Amino acid sequence: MFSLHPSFLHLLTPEIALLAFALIFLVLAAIKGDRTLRTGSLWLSLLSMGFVLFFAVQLLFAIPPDGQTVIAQTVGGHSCMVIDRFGQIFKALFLLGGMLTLLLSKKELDEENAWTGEYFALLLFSILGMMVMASGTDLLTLWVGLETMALSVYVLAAYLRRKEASVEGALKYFVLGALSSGFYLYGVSFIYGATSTIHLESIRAQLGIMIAKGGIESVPFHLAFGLILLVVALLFKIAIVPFHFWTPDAYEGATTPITAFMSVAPKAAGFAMLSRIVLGGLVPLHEILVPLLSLTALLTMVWGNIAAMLQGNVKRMLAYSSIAHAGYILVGFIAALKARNNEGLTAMLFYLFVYIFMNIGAFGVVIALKGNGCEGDSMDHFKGLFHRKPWLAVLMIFFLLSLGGIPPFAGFLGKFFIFMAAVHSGLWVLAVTLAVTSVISIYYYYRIVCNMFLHEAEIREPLTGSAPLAVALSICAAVNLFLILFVPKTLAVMQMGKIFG
Amino acid sequence: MAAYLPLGILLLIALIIVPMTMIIGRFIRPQRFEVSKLQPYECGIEVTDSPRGQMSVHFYIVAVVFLVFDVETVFLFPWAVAFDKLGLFGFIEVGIFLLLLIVAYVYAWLKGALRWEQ
Repeated sequence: MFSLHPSFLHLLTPEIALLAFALIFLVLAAIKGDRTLRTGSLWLSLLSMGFVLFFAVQLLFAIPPDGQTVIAQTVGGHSCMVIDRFGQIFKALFLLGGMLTLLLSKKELDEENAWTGEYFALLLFSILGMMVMASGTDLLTLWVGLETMALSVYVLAAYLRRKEASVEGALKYFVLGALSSGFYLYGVSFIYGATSTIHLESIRAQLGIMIAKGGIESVPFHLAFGLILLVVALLFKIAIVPFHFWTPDAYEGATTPITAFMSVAPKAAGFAMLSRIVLGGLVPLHEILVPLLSLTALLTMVWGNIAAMLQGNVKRMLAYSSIAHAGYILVGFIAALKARNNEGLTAMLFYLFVYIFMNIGAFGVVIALKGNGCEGDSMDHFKGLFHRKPWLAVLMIFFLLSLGGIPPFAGFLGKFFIFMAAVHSGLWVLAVTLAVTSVISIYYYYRIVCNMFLHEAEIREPLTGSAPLAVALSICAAVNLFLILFVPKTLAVMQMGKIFG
Repeated sequence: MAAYLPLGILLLIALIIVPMTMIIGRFIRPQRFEVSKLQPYECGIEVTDSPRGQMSVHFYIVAVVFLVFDVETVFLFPWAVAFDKLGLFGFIEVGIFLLLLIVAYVYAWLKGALRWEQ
């Protein structure tokens, strides 16, 4: 039987509020029709996300440092869901990503003439799913969160349903996403068969006993098979090479604000779930998992950056670059797994925070270029941007240099902390690969800079501006530029997210 | 692991028997083909058209609305069985669950999923 502690219900305020808002938006969308609300629903959903963010951040500081409050449990005291600082930081990150996405959406929805209320309801539902992914501590609670997120994002990826590319990308995303969900459940069934539990805490205890008795060889084959299936399914979700094939098509086809959202929030949610499962349940297997994940991280960094060099479409290039960035973040995760301390986790959280602002900023510039029949996502569309709109070009340089990891910008700090965490846990090969592939990445970011400054503009129509987009770009640029002044404070917040005691 | 052995043997037998019956049947049965024999079997009536036709999308929408109620029953049933053990907490929980489903249903209704003629 299942029980929930009513006295802890206030800890679930962010989730409950978000669910209520999402339901209200869904009904509003049906009552008001598609066209009447338009920007109204955008401001309302921005307001509701801000409200939820406020609660999530307040909770983050209200929870005792090492406190884990078990929100829901089954008989025998096994927890299904916990509220701790680690999960709370992730929730704030998802909401930040969602709010910036909303600011980007106005111009895109105007250009495509595609305003519907469901757009906002689905965004809220997907963030709700991510929140469960960041808090769940048993395999099925996490899976429910994963599916809530994934189903909403599939629909959002196919949002421009009259565009062939959008539907094609979304279909690929859906088929591979459903396949990986199947992998996950198949893995869970093996784990349940071997350990008769789905609770990560018990799985960890049983694995610990097995390995303490007879070493790593004593883990039965079917259990190991299930665990590997589980990890593979999660690598699918965060688009790690060789499970990345859906990414470029889905990112290119989806409407640009949704691409920005997909590259940031679901990726962070994937890392949250990976941390919950691997660091909460599979830690005793680190001897196998570290080399396995290291290999995929290595492949991801190398192939993501090499493939990005070959792209002519900026959204596709940013898709491959986001694959490479997932590789960098994975290095931080592996450092945490290998050393079993919080340094790698802090670096991972810091990078995810910075990554939101650099990537959404870069996609925001693509949206700013859109208009007059120009999609804004070809390398050629960036030609002569400096002469057309100097400020936009300068902002794009900030984002690209930050993505490339050039010193004064926030992206450098993120890479620096991950690099240091990798070095401290003895992952020399990964640390060197991270540094070398970052240098390679500057080549393709520089191609856009080159087009903006050194070429004559091919398109001369004035760009249509959008106030929310300008606000979003300013926020992203400000964080990228000035984060270096607030490093100790930011780092202190990220250090609150601990898994290892 | 040994507990799963009978299951494995069953799987093996299933994997062998099906192809075997098909292969044996192929060699034993008389093979005399005629036009009427090679046609798709349709209760002895002559074939009228191709089975690949287009169906209205509306059928799928109705199926999804049906699913809402189907899932509802699947979860209400065990709750009803264990009602006195779950008490007030279970009652509130099922109330929230029903509320979510009803919102989904109202959404589908307002969107015209139940209107057959557009």
